[in-house]
Amino acid sequence: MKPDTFQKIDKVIHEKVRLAIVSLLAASPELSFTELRDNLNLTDGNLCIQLRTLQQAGYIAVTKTFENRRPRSTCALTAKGRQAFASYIGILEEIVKQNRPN
Amino acid sequence: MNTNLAEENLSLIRTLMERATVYRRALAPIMITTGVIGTTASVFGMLGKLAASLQFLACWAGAAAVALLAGFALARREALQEREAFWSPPTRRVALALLPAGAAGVIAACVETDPTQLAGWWLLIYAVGLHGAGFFMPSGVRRLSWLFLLAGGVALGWKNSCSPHVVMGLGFGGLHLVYGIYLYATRARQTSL
Repeated sequence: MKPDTFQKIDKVIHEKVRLAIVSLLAASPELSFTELRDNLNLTDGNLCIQLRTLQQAGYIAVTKTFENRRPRSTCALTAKGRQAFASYIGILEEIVKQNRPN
Repeated sequence: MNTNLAEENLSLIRTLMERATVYRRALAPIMITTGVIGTTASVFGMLGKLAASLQFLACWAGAAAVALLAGFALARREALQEREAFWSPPTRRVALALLPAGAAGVIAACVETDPTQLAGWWLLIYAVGLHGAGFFMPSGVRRLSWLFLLAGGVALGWKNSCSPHVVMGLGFGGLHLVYGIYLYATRARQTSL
């Protein structure tokens, strides 16, 4: 693998749990906090930490609303997050291609 | 990062993206409820001797309406409990995939006057719709749709040798019930692991 390929890897997305969160959000316009938590078998605390990191990087937007007087948090990928995710997949594909025997 | 890890991550991404599009809400209770409604309608139709075409149609249109309302109520209840949007993208996909089959069922009811034949056509049409919707649901739903297809084929082939209410009871009642019980059993096993 070329050394610069590794340098290009986005460390925010590369972490396993965050990668899983971004992958789920990439396939859906938005997902609620509970949907993410149950899909990935995470604790509330762990999910909160990972969401905060993604939010700080500008990759996701968290919306807080009330439905039937109950608070509801929904997460969605931002344009920046979608772009970062696409680049990350591109790098993974590049790594696989570089090391595939001809 | 080595090639194996890159491939592993790509595979994880693919699996998770597929999972995000799958409808899972209240599937077992919906299947059981639909099964119970189907079986009850079948017993009601036989005991009430609703053999005429219009009577058969009224009985099963009523059962379908009750099953539809119950399904919506169960899905909505779970959505509220889980603090999720009811009309989520997977729900929308499943509903849209089933819509043409619903329309075809109405057309079949307008065209076919023989209740036994109509029961067979309904099972076939439902099987096709369920198979289409099954791409947005757990894979077991697509296997269930093949059983509906088989049941519809048998019902059409047997012609008048069996009461249409029995066909509908075994098809819509029995198959939904069996699948609902299977879902409950496998969910309990998954939880205990």
